[in-house]
Amino acid sequence: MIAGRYYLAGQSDFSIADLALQGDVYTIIIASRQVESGELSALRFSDRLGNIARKITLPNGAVFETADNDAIDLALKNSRQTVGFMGGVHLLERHMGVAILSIFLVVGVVFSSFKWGLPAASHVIAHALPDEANQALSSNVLGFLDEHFFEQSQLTDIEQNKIRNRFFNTIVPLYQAEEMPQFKLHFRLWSVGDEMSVANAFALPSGDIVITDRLVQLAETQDEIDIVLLHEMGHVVERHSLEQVIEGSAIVVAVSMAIGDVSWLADMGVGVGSFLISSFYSRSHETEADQFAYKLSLKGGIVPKSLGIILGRMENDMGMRREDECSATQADLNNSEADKEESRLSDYFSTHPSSGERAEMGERYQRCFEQGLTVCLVSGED
Amino acid sequence: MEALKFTGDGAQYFKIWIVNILLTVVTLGIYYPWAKVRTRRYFFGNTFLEDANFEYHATGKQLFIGFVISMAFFIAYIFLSNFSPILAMVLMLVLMVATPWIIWRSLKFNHRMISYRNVRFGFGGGVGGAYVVFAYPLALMLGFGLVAGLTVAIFKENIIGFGLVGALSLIFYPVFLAMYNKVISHYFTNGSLFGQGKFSADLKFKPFLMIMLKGLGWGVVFVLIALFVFGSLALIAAFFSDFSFTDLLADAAQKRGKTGDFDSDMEMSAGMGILLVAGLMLLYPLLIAIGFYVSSYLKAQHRRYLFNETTLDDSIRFNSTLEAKPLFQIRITNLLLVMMSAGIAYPWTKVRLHKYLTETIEVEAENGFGGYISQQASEGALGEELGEAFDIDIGGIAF
Repeated sequence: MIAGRYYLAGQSDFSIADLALQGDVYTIIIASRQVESGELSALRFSDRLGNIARKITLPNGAVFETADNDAIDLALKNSRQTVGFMGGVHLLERHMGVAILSIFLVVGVVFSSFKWGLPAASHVIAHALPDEANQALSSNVLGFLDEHFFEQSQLTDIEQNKIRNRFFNTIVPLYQAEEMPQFKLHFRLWSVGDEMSVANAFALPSGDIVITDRLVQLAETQDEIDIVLLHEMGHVVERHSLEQVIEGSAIVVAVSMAIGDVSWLADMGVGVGSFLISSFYSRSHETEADQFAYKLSLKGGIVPKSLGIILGRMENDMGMRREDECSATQADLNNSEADKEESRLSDYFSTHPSSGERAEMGERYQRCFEQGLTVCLVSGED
Repeated sequence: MEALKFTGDGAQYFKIWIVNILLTVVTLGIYYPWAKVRTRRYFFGNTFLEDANFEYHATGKQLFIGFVISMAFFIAYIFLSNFSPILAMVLMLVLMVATPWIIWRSLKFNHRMISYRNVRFGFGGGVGGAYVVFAYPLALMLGFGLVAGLTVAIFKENIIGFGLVGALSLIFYPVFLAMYNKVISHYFTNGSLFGQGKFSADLKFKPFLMIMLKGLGWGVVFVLIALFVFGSLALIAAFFSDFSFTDLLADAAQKRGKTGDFDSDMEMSAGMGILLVAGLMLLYPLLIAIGFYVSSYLKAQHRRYLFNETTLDDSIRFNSTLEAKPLFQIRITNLLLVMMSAGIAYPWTKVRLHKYLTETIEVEAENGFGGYISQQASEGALGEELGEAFDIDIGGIAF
């Protein structure tokens, strides 16, 4: 006999009642008088949750309510009624060990899905989307940059044509694929303040590659320009901008879902967290673009170490200028407009792989190059 | 008067919470609606009035429909803002126009999903009312914008004009907030049903304004005091670092037998920097605490006024014993606990806050709760679930 209250369908008045479960038959008893009886399987039991009162709904809509959860569980077990999925959830909730294990599982799953799952998924999605997505992503970006940051290049036509011809006749053909992006090369002067000019190159997802005058001036060999352009082509081919958009969106969705239940997160560095994560992703993008450039440089007979050399020179160039209180920009091979916004911060959290790692990969390709190899097997590469 | 009782327990909710998170993470978010149902069932199921508990009836499946729709909107918005900002803005505008409708749906759905003693709550307010609720503050805002624009224009963008607008906005802000609170509480309370019973409250604008003026006034006073104290501390620090601090360093340098190359200017500015950062690190939490106190005060006062005015069928009355100070203390210590435990303490803090908020509600039912009968929902189920999609917790304003 399970003690409880008996409510008629939808009514607030109740009677003190008992529920008897015998075999497959239930009986409701009020003041020693049997009021209802029937098949156990016709009853609807609410899922167990902690110790909140259990509601058992009768076929006629009446409700028997009891706080004796254990008796109900036992009766259900004896009659071999299935407890369903939520019964399983309750089993998990009952054990502190499960709860502690859950903490580690949650941390592990969240960590690995951000570290491996998300990049892999965004890679697949980015490459499955039609090229229109790339075009839409970069529409008007160059126009915007021209309006706010860039000026006409001051390189002579001869200089421009030399680089352009080399790019389209020699560099672009190094990359062969069924679906070739439409590469376009733009020369721009990017000046900050009166006499400072920024050395930079970046690619828009549409295939537009922009190279600044200062970068051309800094380059001492043709190889240096070539390999920088290869690096930018890598960003386009690997669809890094699209991947970044997808990764960013996924993080926003995940974070706001977490906030739905864990509102304190809103107060505490969601911004910092997503920034760190996104810089982690753009770092792996830089490594990928480097690898792309190195591979094709071997094929085209371009000295791989040129990339390290020109990057070092660009950094020095900015470093020297920074002493002239020029800190808003940074000589980075950034790949999207949004990155420019972050470049101020990236003084602290570099969006680029540590120069050590980067140099190491360059050296390995350089050794292959010196041995006259056109394919270089580097560990950790697919 | 009988107070509500909350029998939930931190350790028990912790286990429910962590399993919810685990399943949500493992299913890549799909379990989220079911997790929400379990949380709500736990909190309602442990809330008692006169030995009977409340109950939450929505199912995960019901919420899942709304969840999918809201996610679709959300993802569409994020993608559009990357690809076509104009379309994203259009989507946002559509959503804004639909917001009152969504809130109305949400109220209807959420009220119906709660029961006490086998009788469902309900919401009988019309959709028109929801739009009126939004039109009030919007009209006020437009009116203020117009006045501000005219003032600036009349004074020909003179500094006096801007000063006047500043002074006006000081008056406007509390009026705006008070009006907003009044209309929303009125709509919410007078639309609420328990079975066939109707809640009603005759709310006036003036008490809302007084509460708002007092709360914001205290806030301004506290902020000014904090700024004054820290400003003077900073001045004192600057004063000392200018004279004796450098001397001290120079002295120390001499004692160590060093000469010439000691760059005392650099050392001084570094010392100043540390003082400044330390000052800000103290000031920032203080400002957060002031914000917490003001919002606790407003909540306590609003609830007291609202409950005093509210009756259910003229026979059941309400009272709130919520006080600003304990509420503030609970919230501030909760924040610290959650921060120090990296989030693990969250379930305990949530139970603690909920217990206080619940047990400060008092109800007097002269004739008891007998005789109430659940009403059939007048609408079809379709659409009601849509209201839940955007997860708007409007009930939080009053209860």
